[in-house]
Amino acid sequence: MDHQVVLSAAQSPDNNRAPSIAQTPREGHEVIEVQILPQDDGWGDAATAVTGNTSDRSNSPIGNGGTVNSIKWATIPQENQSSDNLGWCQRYVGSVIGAGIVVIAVASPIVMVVGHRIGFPSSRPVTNTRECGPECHAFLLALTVKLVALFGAVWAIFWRGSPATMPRIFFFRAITLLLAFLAAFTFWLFYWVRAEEDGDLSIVGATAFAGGLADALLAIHYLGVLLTEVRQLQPQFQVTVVRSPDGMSKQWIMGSLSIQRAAVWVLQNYYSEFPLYNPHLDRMPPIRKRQPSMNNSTATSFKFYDFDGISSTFTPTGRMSRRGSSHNERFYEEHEYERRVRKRRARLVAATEEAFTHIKRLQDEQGPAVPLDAMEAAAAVFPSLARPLQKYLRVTRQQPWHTAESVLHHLAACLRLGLAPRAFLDRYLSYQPVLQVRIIFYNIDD
Amino acid sequence: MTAFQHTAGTAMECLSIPITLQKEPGTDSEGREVLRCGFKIGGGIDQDHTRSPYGYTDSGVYVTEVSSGSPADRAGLKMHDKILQCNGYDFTMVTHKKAVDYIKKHPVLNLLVARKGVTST
Repeated sequence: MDHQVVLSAAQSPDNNRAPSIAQTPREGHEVIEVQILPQDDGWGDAATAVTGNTSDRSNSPIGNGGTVNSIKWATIPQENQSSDNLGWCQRYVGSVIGAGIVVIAVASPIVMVVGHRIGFPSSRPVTNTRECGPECHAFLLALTVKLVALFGAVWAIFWRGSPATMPRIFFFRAITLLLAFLAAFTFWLFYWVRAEEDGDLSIVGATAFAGGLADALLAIHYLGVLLTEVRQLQPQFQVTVVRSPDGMSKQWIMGSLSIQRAAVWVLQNYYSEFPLYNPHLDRMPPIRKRQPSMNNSTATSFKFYDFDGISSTFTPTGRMSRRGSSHNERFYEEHEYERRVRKRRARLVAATEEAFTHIKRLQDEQGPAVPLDAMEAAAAVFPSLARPLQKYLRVTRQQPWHTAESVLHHLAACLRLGLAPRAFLDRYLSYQPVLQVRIIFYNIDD
Repeated sequence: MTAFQHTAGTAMECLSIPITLQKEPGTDSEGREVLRCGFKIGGGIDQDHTRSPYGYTDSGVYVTEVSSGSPADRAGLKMHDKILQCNGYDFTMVTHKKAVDYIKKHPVLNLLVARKGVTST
């Protein structure tokens, strides 16, 4: 069965931007779609992404053999007509039930106390309804604090979707829910018995029940936190991830997670730690001789001259000692390439530092009273930077990612913040992790 | 950067072997008087060194053959030597034709050659 793990990144508050980023498949790029969702998903292991082929009961045409490319975001319900309701039901029933149990359990103490106040279990003598001595007050205060803590705790830990949609029952959450349900049920049972059958439930007793239930729920919440969050922090496995086209690999230490959650974890780490794969780097052009006065069209073969005879040209036919040099070629090519990259990088850094000192001098001349207009200053020095930067980007094949506009903006931002030249250059010199380059590329920040 | 991966036009410092080659008079196939050298050269900055059968790694002028018993052989020139200078003329940035013309012009050649394994490791 296909395990398509769809990553939903918890993102910064500015969600008014493009709510989803779909990376169109470029050659050599993996096609994992990243969606940045607003955080209003339900409790429990709700699916935060709409997927079509992870259910073994769906009989959609994509089915279980669907490829990653064919999964789009909002079109799944249309493609999945035949099992629409069933799929929806499957995905959300868990979270609905969970939410219901939580609401009931958390609201129970309040209902117990208030109910007693308003005479909710009706068949009771009303003699002892109004007395609320110091014990009762103490209980009520403690109850309030505990309820506040419980609300906060439930919201913080459980009010968010789990990124992995399978398995449908998250074992530990289910256990916690079950315990909460049992606790609520037991307390209500005893409360009801006391109030209805025996009829001797005082206000102190009611608040005692409520307080006890709140205590029990807090304890269960603690258990739930331990089971779902803390247990997997203990390192237990080492995971090695190797990326195919360029062989980049990393090792991470993981706790004990289910396979699906482990996959999501690996993906999250991949997006934040792996540098972006540049497919253009693999297609290096053949070595060109940059001789300015030469006409390269005459260099079709290698000429020899025999001083005692006539000159001849050699067209390579057999395998002479050429085979001895082929393994060196690659080495020399890479050596040359690295030298070129280093040379251009050095020139770029020098040019940038010069530009920045120029700006600083200007700023000092004008005095501290005149604030620096970042865009103007950026536009002023940009031409002197443009050429070395462009050459460096060409050599490292990064130029499709950085337009002149974006460079200008970045320069203005750096000048406004008073950053050093190397801080400005970091974006171009170092390999950026995958997620960040996509953000740069789609111009989401600055 | 060694002498054998030299980019033409850049400065380079390397050891070299000085070889003095005296051409000797002889007759060629048509009976004319010529000065014999006894070696062949290949390469030049207008040549594509990647197509050389010997796997030369840069665009300098290389000795591709030395006939035995010839003045070149007696002077100590060996095959696959790279000629760096000839009579003070820089041979790391010459075209093939220029190299040929220059060598043919002078009766005595004071060469500076670089040899793999000897002048560089």
